[in-house]
Amino acid sequence: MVVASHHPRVDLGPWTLLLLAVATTSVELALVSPAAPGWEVGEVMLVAVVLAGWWWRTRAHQPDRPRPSVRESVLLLGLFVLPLATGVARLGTGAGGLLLESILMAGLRNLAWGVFVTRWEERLRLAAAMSLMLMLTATFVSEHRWAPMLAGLYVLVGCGWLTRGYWRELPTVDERPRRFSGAISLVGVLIAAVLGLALASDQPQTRSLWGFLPSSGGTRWFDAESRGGVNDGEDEARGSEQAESVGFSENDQFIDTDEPSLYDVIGELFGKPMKMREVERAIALPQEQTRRRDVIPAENLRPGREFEMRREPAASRRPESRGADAVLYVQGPAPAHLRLATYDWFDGVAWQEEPNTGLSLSIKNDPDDPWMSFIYPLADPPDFLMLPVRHTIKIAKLKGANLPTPPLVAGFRVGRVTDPAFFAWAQPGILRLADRTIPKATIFEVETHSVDTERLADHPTLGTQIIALKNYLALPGAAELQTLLDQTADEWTAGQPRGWPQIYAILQRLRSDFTHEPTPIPRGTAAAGQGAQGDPLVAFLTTSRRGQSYHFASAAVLLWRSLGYPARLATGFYVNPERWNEETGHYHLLRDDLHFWPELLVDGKHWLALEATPGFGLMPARWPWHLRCWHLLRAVWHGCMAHPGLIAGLALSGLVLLRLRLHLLDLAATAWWRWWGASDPRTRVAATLAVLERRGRWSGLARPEGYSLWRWYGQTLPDRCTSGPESDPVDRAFADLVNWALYAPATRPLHEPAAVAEQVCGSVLARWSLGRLRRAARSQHRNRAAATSSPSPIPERRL
Amino acid sequence: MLGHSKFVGSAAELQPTPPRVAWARRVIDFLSHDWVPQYDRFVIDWMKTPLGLLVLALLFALFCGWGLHPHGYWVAAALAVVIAVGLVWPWLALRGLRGRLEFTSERGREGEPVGVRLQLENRWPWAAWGVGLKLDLPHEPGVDAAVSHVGGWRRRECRFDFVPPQRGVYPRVSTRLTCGFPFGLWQFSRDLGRTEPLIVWPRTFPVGTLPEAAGASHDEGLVFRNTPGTAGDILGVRPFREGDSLRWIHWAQSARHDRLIVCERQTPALPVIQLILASHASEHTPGPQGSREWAARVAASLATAWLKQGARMELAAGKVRVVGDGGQRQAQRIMDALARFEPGHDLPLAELFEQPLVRRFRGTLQVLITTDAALAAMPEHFAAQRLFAIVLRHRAFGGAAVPRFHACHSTQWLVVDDLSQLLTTFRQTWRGGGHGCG
Repeated sequence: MVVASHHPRVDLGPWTLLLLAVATTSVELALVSPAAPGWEVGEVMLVAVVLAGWWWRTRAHQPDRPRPSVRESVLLLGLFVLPLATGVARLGTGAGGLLLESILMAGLRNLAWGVFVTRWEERLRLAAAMSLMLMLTATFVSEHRWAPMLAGLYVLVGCGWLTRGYWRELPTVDERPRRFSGAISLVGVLIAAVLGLALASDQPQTRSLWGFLPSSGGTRWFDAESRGGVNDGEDEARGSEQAESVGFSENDQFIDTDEPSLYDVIGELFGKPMKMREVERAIALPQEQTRRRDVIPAENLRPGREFEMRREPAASRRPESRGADAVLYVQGPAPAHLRLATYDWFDGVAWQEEPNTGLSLSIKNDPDDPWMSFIYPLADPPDFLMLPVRHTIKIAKLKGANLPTPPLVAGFRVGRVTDPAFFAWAQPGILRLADRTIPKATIFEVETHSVDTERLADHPTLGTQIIALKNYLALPGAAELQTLLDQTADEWTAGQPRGWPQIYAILQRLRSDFTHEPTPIPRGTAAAGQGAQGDPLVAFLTTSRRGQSYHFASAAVLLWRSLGYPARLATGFYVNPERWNEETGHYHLLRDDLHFWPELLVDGKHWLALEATPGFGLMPARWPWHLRCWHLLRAVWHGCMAHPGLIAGLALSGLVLLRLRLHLLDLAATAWWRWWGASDPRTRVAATLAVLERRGRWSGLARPEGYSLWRWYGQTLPDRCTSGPESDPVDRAFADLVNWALYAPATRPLHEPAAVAEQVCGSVLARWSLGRLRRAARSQHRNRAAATSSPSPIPERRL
Repeated sequence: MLGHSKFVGSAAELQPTPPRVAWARRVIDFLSHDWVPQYDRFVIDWMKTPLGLLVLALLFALFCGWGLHPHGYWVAAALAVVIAVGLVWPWLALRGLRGRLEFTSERGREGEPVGVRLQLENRWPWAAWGVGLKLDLPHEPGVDAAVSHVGGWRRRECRFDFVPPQRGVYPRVSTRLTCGFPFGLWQFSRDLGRTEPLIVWPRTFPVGTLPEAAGASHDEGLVFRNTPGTAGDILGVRPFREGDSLRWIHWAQSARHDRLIVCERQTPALPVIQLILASHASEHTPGPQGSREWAARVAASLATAWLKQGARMELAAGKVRVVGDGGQRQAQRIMDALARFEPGHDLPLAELFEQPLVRRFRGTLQVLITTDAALAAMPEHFAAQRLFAIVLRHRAFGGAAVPRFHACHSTQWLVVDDLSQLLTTFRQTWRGGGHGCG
């Protein structure tokens, strides 16, 4: 034992705080979902506020207890259980659940911070140990690019913590040199640098180190909820924030495989076109039909590709694979439609694809800026077009030249390509690369206008007959089908004025009276109707009343055409909101997301995508702020009109709350006072005094200036409140306590036990309730008013 | 809402309310109770050290690397590097250090600082940090002093004060240099070499004057007894007898009584007191504040005080004996013997009374310093003339309560029931001769 050490005991608090901060940052990178960070951020904020309040309340306490107090134990338990409650709440609100390890990590994080904030002897060592476990878990779970750097930083801070802890226990007898900090820092930096370089560097030398590490090599084990795999797992898991980061660098995507084209995907999803039996029996045809069949479409109307509506289910699907299944990765609003091909001519069985226009782009392009904005056709946008939205599309497994283009495109960018000659129109509204197929992993950013369907309904030119290409108004030649279309269109739109009501009526009828089947119905079943061998559209509209998306879209297009609205069939991918991948922050579009939809030509130049298939929707409009406010107000108004009883009850409750606001605030303040009992009697008395002073201000009996606390609470206030006892020992005792707390030197202890002072404070608060003070104030006010209105008992002095 | 309390009377009359959190405390006590403390050293204790925790984290990282993610191997490698640096660095630093420790005086007293000079030499070209010094003190597990820095190829001398916590000879076994720098994962140590010992005497406290029971069988001493004699203070007056010195005639009284009155004076005496220290380990509680150490302190206090007052003192402490003598030399001999008194030197109380030095004592007073546990083991017929027993209650020094020890009528007792009242007990009840049987 040494008489005196030259140095005070080293404080480990700041270093432990650093350890916790680094570990918590790493945990948050692993926990926070980039798509829905609200819950996690809210929970962290709540924990931070609680812990800050706790620290502020107990900052003067000495950490001399061997273990936490009861309140601290309750706090720690609550912090640990909080993520579990949050997880349950998320499930209840439909925000999605959390993995068990995430809940445990969050609980351990809260517990570590709680231990750090509480005041007992071994808290810092325990908090540091918890931070180590947190950091380990977060390093294994997190795939964030900062995770290795944070691990290195943690090693650095951890070395500092250990060194400080060693010095803390040393009773040094000489002056401590300053150079040792540099030496320790050097060691920590070296270790951290080695770790960081090994984990984060992209150099071949360090990358080759991974080859020495064993991996699973494929264990046939797969969990859809897993976050990262074992470094050779799902490719989608490699990207975390942006579509560009979805990785193909270490898989066999670059090996030249037979990528599916659009028609491969169509065939895989809806089956191969049925081969018709050759019927060689000669029959006599009516004359008019004979004439019609003599009409041979022009060459440019036969592009050579068509979509056959008569299909049979695919014999077998692709085998299950752990490889990346996504055809496209999309960021942006959903639902949305990404066109890849459009069809205009229908012969009753097959749709003919629109020919390539061969038109070059009319764009406004800066040679230094790869972003290309269209001059035409959206130079003068109509009023139903809202603010533009942006989609980022990464083409993963799709062969072809056409870029998946959303309707009403306003501008686009492909990488850093600045030359417009690289692009052309494939079909109206569909971009393509000129004379080349799309390279794999191409990023395509596109900006399109959103559509407000309510304003579209009011668009004046929607109901007017326009002159359009006759292909967009052509109907199949079969008289039976044409008659059926005319009758059906007339029946469904009976009584509707021309324009959007008719268009919408057809859509609504299809969406409500027909059933969507994702895949073709096998032949021979009752549900298949006669469409297998006969006319598929007739079977769809008359007997089966169920079909795939192309049935719905074809029916809508043809019914519109029969009413004189130019329309076409479009196919591509539907950005289904259910395809959202929370881990990567993208929509992963699979082959099953291939979709057909009808498109309507407005003003002769705007192709609007509409949706006839039940279960599918349109991209929501992005309103400007004033329209958002308007829609919000309108929704509130409609809500109020829909639930008048509830609104009235809420309004009444609000009035009651407003009336009792002071009582409620006082109740909360008193509950706070009771729960947050300070161990220091001086602080306790001051808190009691604050509650009383606040009650006095709220009731109109605030302590006047010039009145001492003793005089006011010991004498004047009891005298003014005539309803209570004239003299109460509680008031005197409390006044003495106040005098002691405010004016006695800090070294002078309290005469009574602390429990007695606590009870005096509680009794004073119970005695001088807000209601009593307010009654006293009202009584005083009445007395004063009566005194001023009554004649003075003193006779006026005669002069 | 707030409840109305039953407040009646002044604040001082109020009684504290029972704690509202008693049930919660009981729950927490139940949850945090250590049900198998005997296994803590296998399961928990090692995890509480930084090295144990890092090894645990290393195993965890290896497990995760094997089954979860290859990152685990990198983390395990980083942890292994930290552990290796934390173990190799201090071991290496300690290999290059040698030194010498000197106390500035040969003797000290427990609780009082003694100067220490530590010379260290670092033979490595790099510096050594955080070098500790361990004196093998009992009940002091950590490092006793530390030097923060010894430069490469340098010598360094440090001076500091050492406060011995307990009597004895220091260093007990050896003085060791330790080093755990930089991370304190493990404290490596090496012997510092031979060091001149420091003899630490027991602490003493004032015990007052010699008791009356010390007797005055001799007449050549420096102690004055209240029996008629020719030296010391005046006790009273008496009529003149033949042979009285004329110098001591009280003339005023003689004139009043009309006959010769002389002053009666004290008698010079030389008390011979034997201190019997019963210090068998089974009869005492251990530790710096245990009854064994306090028995030694009582013996040292009595010997120091009474030797100063002129008595001849003997000490019989187990197998250690210091024959009767007086003066400062005797005080040093007794204090050295008490300082060197080790557990291996003691005897049970019954055997102690059979020792020749005790059995053949012909002096005036024997003072037995023992505990009630030792007396309870004594036979019932035990009795000794002129034996004054100072009994340290076992329970007052952290031991278990002992049933009443056997009554005996020929011995006086002083029972120490409360350590905090030890000084008061000696000051107030010493000269009165004690309480009788406990």
